[in-house]
Amino acid sequence: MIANEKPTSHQQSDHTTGEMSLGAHEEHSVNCVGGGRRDALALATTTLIVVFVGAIVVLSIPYAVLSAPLPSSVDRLGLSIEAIQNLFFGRPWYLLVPSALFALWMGYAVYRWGLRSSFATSDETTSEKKVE
Amino acid sequence: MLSQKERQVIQGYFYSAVFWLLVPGLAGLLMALLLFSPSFQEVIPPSFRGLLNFGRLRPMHVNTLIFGWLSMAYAGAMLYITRRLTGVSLFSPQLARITLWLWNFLIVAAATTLLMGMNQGREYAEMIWPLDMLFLVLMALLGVNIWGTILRRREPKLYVSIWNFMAATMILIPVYAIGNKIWDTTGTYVGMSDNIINYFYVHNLFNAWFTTGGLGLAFYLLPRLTDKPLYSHGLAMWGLWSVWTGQHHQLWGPAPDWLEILTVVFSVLAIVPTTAFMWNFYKTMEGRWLRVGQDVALRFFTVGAIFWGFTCIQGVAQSLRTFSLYVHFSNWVVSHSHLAFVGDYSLWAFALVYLVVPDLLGRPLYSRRLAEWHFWLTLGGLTIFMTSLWLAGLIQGQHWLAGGIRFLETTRVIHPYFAWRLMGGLLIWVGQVVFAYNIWRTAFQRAPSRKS
Repeated sequence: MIANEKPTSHQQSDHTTGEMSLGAHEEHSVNCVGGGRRDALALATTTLIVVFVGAIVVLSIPYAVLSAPLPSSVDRLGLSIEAIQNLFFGRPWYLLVPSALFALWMGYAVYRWGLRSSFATSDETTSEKKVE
Repeated sequence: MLSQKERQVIQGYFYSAVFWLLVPGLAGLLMALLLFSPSFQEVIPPSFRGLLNFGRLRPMHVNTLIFGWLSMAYAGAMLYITRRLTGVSLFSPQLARITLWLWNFLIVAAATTLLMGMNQGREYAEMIWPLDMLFLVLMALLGVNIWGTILRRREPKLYVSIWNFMAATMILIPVYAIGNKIWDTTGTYVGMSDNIINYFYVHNLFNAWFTTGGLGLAFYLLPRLTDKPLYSHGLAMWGLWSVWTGQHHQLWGPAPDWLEILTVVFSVLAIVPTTAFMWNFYKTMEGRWLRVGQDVALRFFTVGAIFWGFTCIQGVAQSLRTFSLYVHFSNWVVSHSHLAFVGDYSLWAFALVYLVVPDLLGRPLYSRRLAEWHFWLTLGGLTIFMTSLWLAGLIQGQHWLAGGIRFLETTRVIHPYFAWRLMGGLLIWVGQVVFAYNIWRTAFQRAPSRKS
């Protein structure tokens, strides 16, 4: 099955393969490729590169946000308070509706797919039901 | 079990995609060389200088990459995955074959006309009007095949990938038609009005086609490559229904203030589909991280997924006016685009090709070692390329905001970074040549079929 919550007969055939097989001309020389140490090195190097790229992405954002000289009409995030207030037909409290919905969703998502599934046993969470 | 006709036509999409990957790569390499050393123009024979200047290479590079390589790989993937997950044969393999030939004709015509200077002058919408119409026909034909297959399915419940493909094939048509102003042959909309429509199109091409279709690919690859069911189908569906958010190209322009603010609000809402996917990815990967070192297809996919998260972080940040003020028009944005198109969606497409092509052929990949070379050349080159452009972009932003620094002085300061960009681009392109060779040998080697 391809998803825990939507088991289907046809999808089961797609949940069969994991590792990519060796190349056709390499099948008789397994020692030339793979191997535990090389796999560990590949994982470590990939992790280092991804962390490096992520560090640049994440660190450069506050650097740029804090160092940009802004016009006096906007705040540090670059948003005009007045424009936000006027966005919903000049009634600032209208903004509460989408904001509240957004906050509710985030709260529900953290509870449903974060906290509940982390602390509950596997039998208690829908997402971990084994349906074959 | 796919029929021989289905196998052949889907293979055709992947082989065409791999071929079209090499063309924009070469054009990009030439552009990087021209940026680093403009005098290289003198080396080009005079009769080709008109065709091979930066202004003509750039739209050709973009259009062949996104509509040739990536979109054809997507189309092949959609046909393959839809066929597998619905349990019925394709609506029409013959229609898929006609679509394939027309699609290749479109890319040949686009590359030729753009190099000849026939260009509408609007970003990502450079193709001339007849080719716009052809693209819409192609998308309609692809949509008929995808929807026709789904409507005849034996499988009562639809997996999230199928939902993604249904949405992507349906929504791209109006997005493309509106964004390319197919009704406007006289250029009525100009200036800021045109710009608003143009960037409605640019970002929704990204959201409605590359992200929606790409996540469909990702949700198929994740359980297959990890040998484990998807963590939560419900969470994945939340991601689908909130995916069309984010639009941040109008900031600091003469667009209405309410529109700018609205784009910021919607861009921040992109947190919902981003966290929905990343959490599903993280939880499904639990207990499978060690496989990333062993399986190069899973490694492509994993790095692509994490880079997709980075792309979304950048996208939200770029929607904030402060950050946009700093990086807009700089090389940072160029790097952001490459992170998205190469670092995310292309890496997923590579994983898919490595998984699906051997499956369609019924024999293993020609060489895993070459696939490893492909991975390291691509990731190494991309890291060098993106880092150099991010740093160059931050320097540009700093200089421009400081004021009083001459443009040429800024260009002189960032010139070394263009050398790194060229080197990174060269590594990426060599990686794609290795990839194409590996796929070509897999497809045409005379090895005995595994199934026979």
